[in-house]
Amino acid sequence: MEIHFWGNRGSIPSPGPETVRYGGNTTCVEIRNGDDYILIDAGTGIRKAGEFITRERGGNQDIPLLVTHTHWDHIQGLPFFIPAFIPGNRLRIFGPHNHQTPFDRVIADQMQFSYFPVNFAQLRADISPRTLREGESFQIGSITVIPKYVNHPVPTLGYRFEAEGKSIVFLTDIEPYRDVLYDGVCPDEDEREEFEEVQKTVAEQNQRIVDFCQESDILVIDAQYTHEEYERSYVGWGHTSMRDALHIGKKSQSKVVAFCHHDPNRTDDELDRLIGEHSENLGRESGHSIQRLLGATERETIKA
Amino acid sequence: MLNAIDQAMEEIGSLNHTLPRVMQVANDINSSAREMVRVIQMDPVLTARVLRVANSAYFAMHEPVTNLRRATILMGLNTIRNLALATAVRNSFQIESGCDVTSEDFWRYTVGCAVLSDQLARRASVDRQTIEEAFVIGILHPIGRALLIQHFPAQYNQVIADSRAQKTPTQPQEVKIFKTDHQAIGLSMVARWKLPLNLADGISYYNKPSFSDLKGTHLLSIAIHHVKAHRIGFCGDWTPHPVPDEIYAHLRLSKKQVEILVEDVLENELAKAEDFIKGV
Repeated sequence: MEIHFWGNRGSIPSPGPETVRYGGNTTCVEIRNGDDYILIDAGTGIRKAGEFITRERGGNQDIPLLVTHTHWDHIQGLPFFIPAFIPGNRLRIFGPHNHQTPFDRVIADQMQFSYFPVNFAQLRADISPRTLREGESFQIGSITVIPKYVNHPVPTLGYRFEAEGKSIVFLTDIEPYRDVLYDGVCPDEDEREEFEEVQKTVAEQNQRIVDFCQESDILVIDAQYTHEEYERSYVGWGHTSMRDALHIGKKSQSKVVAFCHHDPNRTDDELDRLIGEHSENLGRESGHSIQRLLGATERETIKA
Repeated sequence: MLNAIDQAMEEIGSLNHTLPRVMQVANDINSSAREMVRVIQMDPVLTARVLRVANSAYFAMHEPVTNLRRATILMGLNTIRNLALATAVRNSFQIESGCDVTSEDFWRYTVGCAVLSDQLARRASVDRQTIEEAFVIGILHPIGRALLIQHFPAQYNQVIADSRAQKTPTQPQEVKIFKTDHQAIGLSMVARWKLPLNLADGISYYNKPSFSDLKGTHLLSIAIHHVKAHRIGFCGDWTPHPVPDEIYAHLRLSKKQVEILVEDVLENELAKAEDFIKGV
């Protein structure tokens, strides 16, 4: 099993000379195992994925597309996904439950008349959206898919893929659970029980994330910010710091950790430097299982 | 009529009385999670809607989510804020209901029951879970009545008039007019929205507490009795149900203790809640 990166940039496409190595397209990755493949997210990276599928795999494709969540940078490439326009193709779109607007409507609405010249209903492929529940694993060919809801400012899924004894976990747009009510300080002895219940809930939820990643061969995880950036300006924005991402990788005993959802302002040189520093620190530490740390790079593939 | 009630369950909005404050807190990007939780827990419909989402089968929680603090950690402040706004916005499409039960009176009754249940739980011989659930069960117990008042005001005025004329509780009059009653509607909402299971017991037996084994239901029963007896707010029904002495004894509470609590604590807590809702 392997993962191929079509886009790893967070928030907004960021083309330009300073992002050309890691890439400027927003999130789209592909899990492959033999002839089976799954796309995850429809950021702008999916445009090239669509060209590749049409060119290399031909028509009558059955394409599973797992959407982590419906923020723009994870769906905005879908109107430019060529296989969706080709009759004979089947596009199965899986995604999170949304309490306010059904998942299929959110996907279709971005192709309304006001936003895009082709209506969602006019796409010629056979398209079927499906909402996923946590804990209900399912099979796509030889690959087992396990969805899990994670902490982000809209319902968001992380995915674990398993095949032939290998595992890849993809966690973009995730922030560790935290005490948003008390910020870790009990305000009053009268509220001690409520405070402790909140701390327990936070710890339980963070442990469930670690359990979800347990012993993964590859953990691709949101690391948009440095820890200083996160604490200074971005608490509650729904993303993880590099330090916390590595902490999850260490606790879960993952083997390869790939940072993703690169900040749109992060240059290639900065990413090289930051990943280099973290790799050096990892090299000096003992007692963890991480063999390799890297930044997810557009058009590159990692084998599990 | 039953189909109309079924439809109304999906459309029920928050109380007009809490609406301005809900909108203010939810629209303020700088409002804290604690403010958000506090304003939501003052409204039965908002509370129910948040717990409904948290307990949805999609999230596969290991155990039911029965309080707003836990729901906020799990779902995040943004989702909670969005739910509150979406629920509040439903009200903007409704005209004043015209029911004899005003939104303010209904709110005072509901919050009165919740505050008193919570205060009693802290003093009674009950376990930690019962203490944690007391407020939320108090605030949610009249959800069926809230639906009837909000969506069928003219018919509910008839229920109130008939129950006054015949000196009965509202329940038999509700059955005559709606072919169902506020308790059955509340139970349907508990099942459909996956609300805390102990709430179902409270809704079923608050007016006949000897039928229940749950101390949470006994606390609710005592709280409702005293709130009605002291005419704190109005839910459409003035008639306090009887509470047998053994219910007090079972909780190791005395009637006098409850009376003192109503006079010394409840009014004060209600005044604080009123100030918060008015943004004072």
